Amino acid sequence: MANNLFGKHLHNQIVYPLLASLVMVGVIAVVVAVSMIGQVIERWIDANAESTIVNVESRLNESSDDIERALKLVAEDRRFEQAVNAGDVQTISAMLVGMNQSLETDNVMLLDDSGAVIASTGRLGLRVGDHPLGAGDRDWVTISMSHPILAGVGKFYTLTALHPVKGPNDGAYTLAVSRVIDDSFVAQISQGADAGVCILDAVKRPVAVAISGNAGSTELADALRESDEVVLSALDERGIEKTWPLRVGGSQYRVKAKQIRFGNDPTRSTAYLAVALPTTVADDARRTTTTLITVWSIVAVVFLVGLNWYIARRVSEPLGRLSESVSKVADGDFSAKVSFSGANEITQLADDFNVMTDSLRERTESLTKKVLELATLYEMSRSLGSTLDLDMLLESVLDSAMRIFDVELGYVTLRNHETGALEVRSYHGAGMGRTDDAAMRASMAEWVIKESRPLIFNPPHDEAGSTGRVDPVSGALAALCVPLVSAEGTIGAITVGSTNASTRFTSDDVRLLATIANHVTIAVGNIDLFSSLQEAYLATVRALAAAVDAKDPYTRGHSDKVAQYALIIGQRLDLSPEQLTALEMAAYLHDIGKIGVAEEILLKPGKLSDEEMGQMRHHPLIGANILKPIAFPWPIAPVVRHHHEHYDGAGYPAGLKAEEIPLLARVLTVADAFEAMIADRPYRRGRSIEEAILELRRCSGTQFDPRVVDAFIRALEECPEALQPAEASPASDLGPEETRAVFVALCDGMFASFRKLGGPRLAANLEQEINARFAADGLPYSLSAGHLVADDDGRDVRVDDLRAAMKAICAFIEQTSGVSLVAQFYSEALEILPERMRKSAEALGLGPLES
Amino acid sequence: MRVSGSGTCLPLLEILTKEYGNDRVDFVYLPGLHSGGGIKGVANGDLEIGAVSRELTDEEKALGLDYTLISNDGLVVAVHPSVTIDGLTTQQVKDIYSGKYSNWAQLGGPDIPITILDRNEDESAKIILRKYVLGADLKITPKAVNLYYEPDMIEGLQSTVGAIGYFSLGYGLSQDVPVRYLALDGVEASVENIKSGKYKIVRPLGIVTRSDVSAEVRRFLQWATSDEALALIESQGYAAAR
Repeated sequence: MANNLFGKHLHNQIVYPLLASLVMVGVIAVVVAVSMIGQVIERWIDANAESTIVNVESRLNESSDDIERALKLVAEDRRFEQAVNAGDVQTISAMLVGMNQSLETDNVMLLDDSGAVIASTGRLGLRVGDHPLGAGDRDWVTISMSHPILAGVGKFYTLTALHPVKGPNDGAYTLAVSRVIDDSFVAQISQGADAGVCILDAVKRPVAVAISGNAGSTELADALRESDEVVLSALDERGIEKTWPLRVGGSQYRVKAKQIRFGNDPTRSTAYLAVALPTTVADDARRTTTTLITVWSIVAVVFLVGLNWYIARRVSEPLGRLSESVSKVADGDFSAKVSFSGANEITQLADDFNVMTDSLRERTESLTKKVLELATLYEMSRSLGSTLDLDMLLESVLDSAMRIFDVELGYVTLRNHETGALEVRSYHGAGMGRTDDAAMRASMAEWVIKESRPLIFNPPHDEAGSTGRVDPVSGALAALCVPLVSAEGTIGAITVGSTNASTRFTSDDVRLLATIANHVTIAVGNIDLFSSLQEAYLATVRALAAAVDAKDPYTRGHSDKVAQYALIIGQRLDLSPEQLTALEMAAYLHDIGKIGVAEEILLKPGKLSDEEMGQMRHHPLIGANILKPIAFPWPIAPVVRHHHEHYDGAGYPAGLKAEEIPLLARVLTVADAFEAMIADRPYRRGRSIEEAILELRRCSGTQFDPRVVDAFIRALEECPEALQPAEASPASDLGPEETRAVFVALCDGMFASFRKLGGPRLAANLEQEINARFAADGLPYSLSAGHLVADDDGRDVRVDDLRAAMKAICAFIEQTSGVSLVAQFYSEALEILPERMRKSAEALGLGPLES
Repeated sequence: MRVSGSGTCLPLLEILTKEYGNDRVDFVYLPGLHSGGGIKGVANGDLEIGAVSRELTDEEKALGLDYTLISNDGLVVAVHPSVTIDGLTTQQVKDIYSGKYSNWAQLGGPDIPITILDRNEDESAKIILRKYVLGADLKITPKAVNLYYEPDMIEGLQSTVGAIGYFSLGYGLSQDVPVRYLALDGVEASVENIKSGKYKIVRPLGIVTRSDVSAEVRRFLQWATSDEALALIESQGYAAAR
């Protein structure tokens, strides 16, 4: 819509057009009414003028009739007839006086047949012999019947009634009765007219004027008396039908004129009558009416506008508030409620709007909750995938779950694989509960794990139940617990709870927590899998390492030491735990390729020929190839492959330079070289640490990565004891393979010494006897060609079995060779073991001294 | 206060009441009823003041009304101004009214027929005129016209050439009626002559009131007989009662 002329508010759009139209209607109504009133009043005045004229004329006629009638009575009086007939002037005169007085006329006269006065009495002041009606014109007497005329008599203008009277000698005398048409006469005939009335003679000369009632001032009278122009226009032949406006002395009049003539006047004598009606009253009426109409129109407009304003407000205000609320709701403020009093469509709309808002809020809240749940679940699943640390994982899951449910209590229970007992692995108790065994046995988790079913506890609504702790572990008043169910069965439970007794858990919550529990179960399974996988790797690696050590007795313990130094460097370089693990693994296995090198070359004392050296140089490649098919979680093979590369590219097998060489390989190179330098060999003594460090410095940048060398040297300077052999791990820390490897190595060493002294035959006998003994004792070992073979498939290495086996072996050697030889053989066997294995052996207590 | 009665006396009362400043009394003049009517009206209670221009009859005196004489009014014989004579003798007046003369020329005046205006016999003016001039037995000529009211008489006199009549001198003088007053037997009709007793044709003008009149009427009567009122009366052409 284009810009509305009346603004953008509904209220104004309703009010302004209506105001405009009301004002327009009001103005039109006033104008029309006023002009109509003006016309009506004008017509009324004109009609008034007309009726005044008619009235005055009829009164004139009445007067004429009156005097005519009276005249007849007198004229037909016998005594008067006789007096006239007798020419008795005295009697006639006296009778005329009496007649004039009793008729109340102005003049009575008797004229002879020449029109001369015989006798006269009255205002006309005639003398005997006068010819008042004009001697020459006899029209008025020749007609022998009575009639009125309008005639000037002397200095008066009169209404005169004539009546023929028979004179002596058949003279045609005339009796004439006159009313002088003067101001008072006009006043009399115009009485009650409220108008200025003027009578003019036949030549339109004003004769008499009367202003009756409060019709006007003397100015009007003067105007009429002096024949104002307007009056003359009104008297004009063409103007006589019209009404003419006249303005005199500040007052407004309307003038109308008429020619008057008596119907029974055969002489056709004529006069004119002009009336002037004041418009004062009419003007007052018009003004008053106009004012009334205007005032009323204004009042009506104001009232209607007010009403309209009110109605518009009644409509627009709720709409405005609704619209405001709608925009609030659109902005997410669902508290925007509207309420209006009364009952109509608008309040209905408001109610519906409130209902809608509530519904929207519920949906939004539920959506928000879902989104939060989803986000948390997503976060959780990410963290589930990103960590292999069980406790960290459980902590993170529990934290997420508590956030989703907005509760402050929670814990995760897992069944211990070893003991089968339930353990609380992650706990948020807020000090409300306890985790001792008794509490565990009474907990919801215990029940849930046993039943493998979820459990909701919502406290009853009444106050009585509000203090009961449903779950002693968490101390919650309301709690929800779901089992962690894996393929192997229920492995634990996750519990969330609230200290708020009004908290209510729903089946939706159960579903959600069960989903979380599923994730947790899968993650826990993954972690289990991973750790068992890792254990398997470690076992493999150790076995391989043991194999290398077995191949080259001179370098026994070398790998351990290299691993030790490599870790020192690695920590110094701030390598990640994964890299450190990889570095350690690689260090143990770096010489595994030597398996593929002929023993002659490998064990050859002194300098190797070029060909031998060439073979020797194959060992990193061979090692890498051996390791390649094994899918270690860490990149070990490249480290092994390149641990003989030189920083300046002069190394083998690939001749890589500087950064081309994997970092771990560079570290390994330094650690390997250092160990080789300081270790004693059958053919030479090891150099001192200082010499070794000098050598490292010398070759830094050529053979070694300077950064790695620096790190190592700094580490050594700061912490010289790091070079000390690591404390032997307690037996329990040894893996079964290692334990077995130590045992096998010891046994092999002792047999080798025995065979050397006793010869092969005796050794074979001993072998048979020992094997028989092993079988009799149920020990899973056997001797074959001087080597001890373990039949236990790597499982379940029991130290007692080992001790028993060793005891048996020692006992047989003692029988054939004596106690001193046993100790001799044992120490020789121990001597050739790598230091780590030696310590392990001592820790295991396998020696004959212990028996 | 309702006033009526003799047409001769009323003009005088009008003069008096017009000047009477005391009391805010409205004097309402009803149409003339002649002296007898005025007396009856007062006796009936229809009027508060009755104007009387003659002496009360015995019958009227028996009604027990109060009579207050205000003025002595002369009765004057007058003619239309066209009649150029100054006076007549008693006999000449009698002859005119008996019809002996028909033209003023016969009496030394212009050649104009005499129009005789007369009053009814029971009118105070006629009674006085007969008493002093015409005599009780004079037969009035039928050529005369009887006029019922004094104003008619006066108007007739004014507007009829050659007319003769008689009326109140007080009225005539106070209203400046344009007629010619005639001396009778050489005695001019004037206030002095009336007061001096030379002019005999005089009517008493008085007021009749009930004896139980209101204080206002009493106060008016008191004033009407005071010196102030008398001076007024005389200045208007009436002769004071004292």
